[in-house]
Parts: sequence; structure tokens; C-alpha cells
Amino acid sequence: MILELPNKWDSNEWAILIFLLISFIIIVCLPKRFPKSVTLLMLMFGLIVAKTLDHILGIPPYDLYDTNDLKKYEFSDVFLYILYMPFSYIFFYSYDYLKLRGGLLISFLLSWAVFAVFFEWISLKLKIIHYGAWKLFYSFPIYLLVLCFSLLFYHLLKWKFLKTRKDEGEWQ
Amino acid sequence: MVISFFYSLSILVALSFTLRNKRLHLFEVIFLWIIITFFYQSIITILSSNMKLLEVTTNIETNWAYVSSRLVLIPTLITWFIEFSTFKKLKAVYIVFMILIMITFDFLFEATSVIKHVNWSIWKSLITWFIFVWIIISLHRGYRAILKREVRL
Repeated sequence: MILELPNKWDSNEWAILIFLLISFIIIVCLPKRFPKSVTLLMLMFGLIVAKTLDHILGIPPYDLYDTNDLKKYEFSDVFLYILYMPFSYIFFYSYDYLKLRGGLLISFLLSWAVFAVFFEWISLKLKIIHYGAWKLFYSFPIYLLVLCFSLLFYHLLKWKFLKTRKDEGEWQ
Repeated sequence: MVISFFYSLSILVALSFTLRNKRLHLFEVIFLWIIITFFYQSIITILSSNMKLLEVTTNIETNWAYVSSRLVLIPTLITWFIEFSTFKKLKAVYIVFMILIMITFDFLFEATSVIKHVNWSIWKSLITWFIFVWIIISLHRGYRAILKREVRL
């Protein structure tokens, strides 16, 4: 089997499906803010960060945690990676919308990191993630680092887009 | 030794790619890096965990050499070849050359004990890389079509 099917369709699969549905409904309902080419990169940013970190930390030699039912690559894992896409998009969207600076920006980043840890805790309870040697509080600095890196990524996209755009009205 | 070799090679390839005049838009380079890394890492997981056709080293030092190759060396080389195949004539020649280079790297990883193939053959490498490159080129074309409408290429 190229991609494994889950052992049993239970809490983790239902949770991923429901979260996916809710998060995609949210991003579809949000008014258009970015050009399509930028939206795609913002969506894919979450996917690649999650995949890369899982590929380094979640498999041997470290093998610090596992996702879903099996120690194999499952269909549910693919959906789990897709779930990171709307999350990263909503982060970029809220940052672009709020235009925060200084202390407010730090509070914004801290709130997102706390939310990410809270979401990870829910994922633990719903058996989407299973810890090996990993601890929940290790995740907080990782999320903060990823969020800071996301801001750099956002500014890089904006700088390049404004420099090369065709339509002056797009993404002010 | 292995880690120095792959780190140096990754840095050299990334530097050469960055410092030359690129014809791809920065967004295309980012898009290509994301899809190449995502699919490449997924294939490694499928071949090693699900199909047991590949054993990746559990030695921490050698494993980091592989991480640098997965995240820098292989994506940069493929992006470079895709750039050639997008803008130059003899596209097919570049694509075939790229697949051959990737197969060479597969066996270089094996020779340096970074990975070990189990019940593998050069034909399986050839088919895997062919499908991989075909998917990447198709997705890149789709993205380029979207990008063309919004920015100056």
C-alpha cells in the first residue's frame, strides 16, 4: 500500500475532517485580500513547515512523536498536513488586516503561539498526535520561531509582489 | 566526512543558484522549493516506512547530511534544471539529464551509507524520478499561468 488506511475510523479522523471543513469554510468566507499567486504560497507555507518539522523530529533517529494511528504514512497524515494550510493563511490574513507594530505585534505573536499550543493539546486528547520523548512545552518556542519566520516570509512576498505587480490596485 | 561533503555541496549549489541571474520569478522559486521538498520528503517516508524499500540511516550525523540534501541540494538542483527546461531549447534533454543526475545522487547516498535500498533497481529509480519530475513540471506550469496574470515575468 502506498498510503496506509487508518486502523479504525475514530476520534482522530473525525477531528481532522471537522477541523478541515471548518477552517476551509472560514477561508472561503473571508473577503479576498491577496492575489491568487500569493494566496497559494501562503497556504503552502503551513504545509511545508509542518511536513519538514515532522520529517526531522517525528521519524528516526529522533522519532520524538507520531501522528494518527500507525507509524506509517497514512491518508489521515496527508489530510493533517492540508489542515495546516488554512491555519497559515488565517495567520497571514490577520497580520495583514491588523497591521500591528511594537508591543501589540509581540502580543499578537504570543497569542498565536498560545493558540497553537492549545490546538496541539486538543490534538493530543483526540489522538491525532502521540508523544514519544516530546513534551507539550517544547512546542511553544518552536511555534514562536515559526511565527517569526512567517512574518519574514510575508514581508518577502509583499516586497517582491509590489515590485513586480501588473495591477497597481492589487494588495496595497 | 559525509556531513562535511553534503553540507559543502549544498552550500555551493545554493550559492551558485542564488548569485547568478535567474529568469524564474522569486515566487516560482519558492513554489518549486515547497512542492519539491514536500513530494520528495513524502516519497522518502512512503518508501521507507510503508513499502520498506529504503532504509534511512539512524546515525544522527549522517542523517543531518541527508536533511541538508533534502532541503537544499536536491530542491535547488531540480529548480535549476526546471529553469533551463522552461527557457532553453532542447527541453527534453535537460529533463533527461536532470533525472540522470538525481539517480546518480540516489546511488551516491547509498555509497556514503546515508540510505540503503532494499529490493531496488535502477529502473525503479528511473520510474520514480520520471513521475516525480512530471508532477513538479505540471504543477509549475499551472502556477506560472496564475503568476503571469498578476506579475511581470
